[in-house]
Amino acid sequence: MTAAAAAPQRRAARARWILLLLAGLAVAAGLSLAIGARSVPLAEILSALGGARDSVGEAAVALRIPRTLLAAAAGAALALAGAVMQGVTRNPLADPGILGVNAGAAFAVVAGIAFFGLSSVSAYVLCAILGAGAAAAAVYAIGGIGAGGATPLKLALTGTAVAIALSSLTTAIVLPRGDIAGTARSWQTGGVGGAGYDSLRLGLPVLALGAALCLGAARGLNMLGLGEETAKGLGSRVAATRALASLGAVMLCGTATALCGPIGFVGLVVPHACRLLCGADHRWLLPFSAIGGAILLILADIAGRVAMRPAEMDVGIVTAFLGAPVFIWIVRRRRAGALAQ
Amino acid sequence: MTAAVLIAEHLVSGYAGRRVLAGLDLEIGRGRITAIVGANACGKSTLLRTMSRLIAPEAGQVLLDGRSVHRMPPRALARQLGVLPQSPSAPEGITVAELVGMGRHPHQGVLARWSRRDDEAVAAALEATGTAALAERGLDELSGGQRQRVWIAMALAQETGVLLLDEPTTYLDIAHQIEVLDLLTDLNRARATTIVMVLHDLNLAARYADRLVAMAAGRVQAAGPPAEVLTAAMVRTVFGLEARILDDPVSGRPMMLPYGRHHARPAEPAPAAGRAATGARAG
Repeated sequence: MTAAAAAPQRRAARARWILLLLAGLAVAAGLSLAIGARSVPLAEILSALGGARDSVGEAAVALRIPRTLLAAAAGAALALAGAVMQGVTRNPLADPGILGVNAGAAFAVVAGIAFFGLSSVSAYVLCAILGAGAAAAAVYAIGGIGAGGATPLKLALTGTAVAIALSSLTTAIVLPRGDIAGTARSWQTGGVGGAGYDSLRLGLPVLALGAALCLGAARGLNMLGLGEETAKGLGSRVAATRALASLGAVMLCGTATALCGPIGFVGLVVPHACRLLCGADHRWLLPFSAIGGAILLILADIAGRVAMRPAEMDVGIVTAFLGAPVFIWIVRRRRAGALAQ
Repeated sequence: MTAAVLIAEHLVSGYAGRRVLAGLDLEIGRGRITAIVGANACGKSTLLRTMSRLIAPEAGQVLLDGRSVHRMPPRALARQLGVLPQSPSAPEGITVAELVGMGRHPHQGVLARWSRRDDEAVAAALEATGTAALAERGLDELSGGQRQRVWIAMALAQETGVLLLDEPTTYLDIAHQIEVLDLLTDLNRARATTIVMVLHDLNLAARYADRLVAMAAGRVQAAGPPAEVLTAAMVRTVFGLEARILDDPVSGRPMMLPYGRHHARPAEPAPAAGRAATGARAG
């Protein structure tokens, strides 16, 4: 009964990792409140958390609270969506940025602002989700053309091409329209600097619903990992899993993009790192990824704040710096042939 | 004949407009080992996949204990009929125990809790396939033969009365082929599991199957005990190959020796094309 004896050990190890990650999240959030363009003494940080807004320092910290919350929520959403996309497509290179889903969401928001005069957060979120879904469907359809169907590399190439095309179109819409340039700029590169409680209040329930759909599909995703035929043979409803998980992922990417603009590579980096900690079981991998994504985006935002003081670098640029080497590492680690199949 | 557990009736099936099975009828005996043989692209795999509901037939039906498999709820079917595709794949880093545990999926409810019953089924499957010692190893670390035993263990943990396997011996060396076929025979004898497998090797099929099904062009060409089905005439019709049928001195089942264009002894008159039947001796 080695199997039965070892399983609880593994579960305990995973539970320990979850606790460690949560502790890491708390530390990252604390750093995010403390570090910024202005140095604020600890006493003022604590008083600001208590609600005081008397000094300049306290006011600065008060601004960092929604920003930290947004970074955590968006990071969790993008990493969760990435893990789900990797599971649904059985593609290790899947990521909301690489597959063009975030670019589709950003394009839809900017187009909505320019052509339909959208100006409310709820309209942005709805538009972004529709755009994300349309981009995902288009990339999958185009990537599936030709021999071999939607292989990992073909899908990644298609997604990247679509992402570049969409962000060019987004720029083309914004450039001649000086009146919306200020508003639309946040959907050209992703950042969490403009966070406010209004958008959080609207976005968080949608993110929660998307996350619930993804977590509900965890067992189905495990089955999909065995390949469509084996999964069906074990009585798994493959089409339902794919539909639910994709819908959840699109809601997460769309909402995250509506709130902070397109942020890439979080969904690629975090699930791969988490797999090293907890293995391929999605019932663990998805929560691991959500917490890991929150930590990563908070840290990336802090890095963006201190890298070019007193100016700030958008978090979307920081994650691209982090993510590109990881992308290369994943491709090189597997033989290229395995990805092209 | 024993009562049939699985029946294909007038099955028409294929992929995206390409019809592979053209009105096929077949009965699979309960508790028997059935081997399906035939040339490449004759529809063996399509038959297996249609019978296990991986693809839906255009016409006809598949009955499992009298119920149409294409109308059963997926989990209910998966509790009675297991299927192992030709080259299954698993996610990176999965352990043997985790993979075998996946076989319990149809037995768990929507809000599944892993139960003692699941533990027992997994342990029994590991035991039966001789993979208990590998339980905590990663699937990636195993040899081809070990891996195939683990996949069979997963199908065993599913605890179905019927098990369909698509070329379970492909890519294995001869020792591992025999090992896998012996293992399936053990299961058949110990648990009375009905086994249906597609096999390429006619001699191994004849040795291990109670019943041989020879397919050609999407139809059953011959079906019955190996001694009746494995004949020179069948090999000629199904494979377009001249062959001699002998008694296998090891098993007493028929075995087939093919004629090619080369390497026939002068004393062995290779049949000339056209009057083929005279040279080969029907077993």
